Amino acid sequence: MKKKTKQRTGSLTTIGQAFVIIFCLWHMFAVATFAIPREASDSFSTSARTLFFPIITPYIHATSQWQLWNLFAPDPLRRVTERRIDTQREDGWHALRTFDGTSVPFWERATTYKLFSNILETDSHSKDGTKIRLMQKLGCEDFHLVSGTHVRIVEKWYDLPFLKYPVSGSTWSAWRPTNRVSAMEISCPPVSKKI
Amino acid sequence: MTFLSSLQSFFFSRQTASGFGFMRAAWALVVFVFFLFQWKNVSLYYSDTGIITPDTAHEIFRSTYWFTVFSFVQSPEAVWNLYLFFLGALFLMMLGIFPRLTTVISVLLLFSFHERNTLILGGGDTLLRNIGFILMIAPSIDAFSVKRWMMQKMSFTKTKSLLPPLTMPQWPYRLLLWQMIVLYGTSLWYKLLGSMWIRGTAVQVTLHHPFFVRFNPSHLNFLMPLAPLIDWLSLLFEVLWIFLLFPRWLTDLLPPQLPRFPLKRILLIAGLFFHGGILILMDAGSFSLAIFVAYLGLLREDDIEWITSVFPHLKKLPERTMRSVFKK
Repeated sequence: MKKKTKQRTGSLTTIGQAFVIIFCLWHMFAVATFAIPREASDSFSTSARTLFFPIITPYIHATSQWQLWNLFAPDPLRRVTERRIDTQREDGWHALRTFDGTSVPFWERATTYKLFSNILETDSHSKDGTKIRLMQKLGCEDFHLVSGTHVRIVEKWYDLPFLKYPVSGSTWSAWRPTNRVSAMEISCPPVSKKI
Repeated sequence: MTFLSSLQSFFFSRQTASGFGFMRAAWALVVFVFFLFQWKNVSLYYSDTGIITPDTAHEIFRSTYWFTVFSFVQSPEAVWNLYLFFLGALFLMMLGIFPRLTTVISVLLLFSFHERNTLILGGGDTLLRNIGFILMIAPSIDAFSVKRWMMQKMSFTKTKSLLPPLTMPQWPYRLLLWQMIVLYGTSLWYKLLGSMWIRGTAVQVTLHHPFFVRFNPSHLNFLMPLAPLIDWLSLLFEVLWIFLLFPRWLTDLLPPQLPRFPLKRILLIAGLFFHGGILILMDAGSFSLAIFVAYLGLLREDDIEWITSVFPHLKKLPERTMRSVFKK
């Protein structure tokens, strides 16, 4: 009797250990497979994604273990964007707030940057409602603007150069960006009709 | 040794639980600090009056296998209360008060917050989720906790001796090490899919992005001659993590004249410099700190012995502290 008790309290039973091993191997397989770069187009990667994603994705999503390690990769981010929210008054457009590298406190920089780039830097129309909501929230609501007031988000951006080979510090000192500007405008809705 | 007994040994031989105890406390601290940074924007990020409303949720949330407490907690007031509860759980987890309960609560709430708004997440947040999952299921996370302190005090009061050091089976360590190998290995894979990292120009460009770099980019031009070397060393660093997959008996086959290196320890030290440099020069969110949290979990007995040999005053510091406090 004493021997059985010691075996149960001191360590997992053999069946328990087998379960843990199977779970570990499954988790390791799922995590590694899910992390395969989406941009990889070789036959191994495409076959692995086709075969295994339907099996592992429910587990990965349910356990919030989704992951892609594309930080500053395949190539580092070259787009530098400053954003400004303007409101239109009788005498023209006026800036309400600016989002650039210096106007946002350091503790908000990373999340603010991610928020804007994930919402605004999509070419498809899949996030149009969220774009409008962003402007409603950060412009109309935060500044208590009346219904019908025009608000726009102005993006001033440039691309850092795509370098084919390393250059010197003096080359960088002499480099000047080519700025481009784009804007998206909305009209503030009545309070009850916001998205 | 048979295959099955090798497998059992690989996953279940005992090792120190100190690394995971450190990692528990550090994980809670990092998550606490970075969520504290969101103090002003909790309602904006997580409530139904914020960026993602019921009308726009379909654009952001995935439709399957999506679980979050925020399915039920939506108003700004309720979200704020949950946020404060989360901070409280993290604080208790950091101290190790009811460590298992507070760890499970903290990790599941982290998952909920992340699933509620994926738009603000970066690589550090992902890694913290991955580490949190392993912490939640690891059998021993009580090292360096108030709970452990109380048990030690009881033992010392009764027997005038401390409890033996906490140990745990190796499988959580194996999961964590595998996660780090996947991280560095797939990061390397991604870099090789582009062209700038191979050309040695990626670091030069990154150091000129004003939103990431902490300093005026023009003040960093003196680093440009070094940047290609940093670039290629980064690739080498990531390649070397893959070598941790090779079993030790393979290195035993090498000629004895060749020096043996504790590769994992070298990579952890190199990682301190690599990610520490990123932390100093750049604002990449919580990524560097999340990496350091993971590194703590990768410390085993030989690594801790090496650290105490380099810093002798740390040797048996916890035991000496407890003995002097309990004797009073």
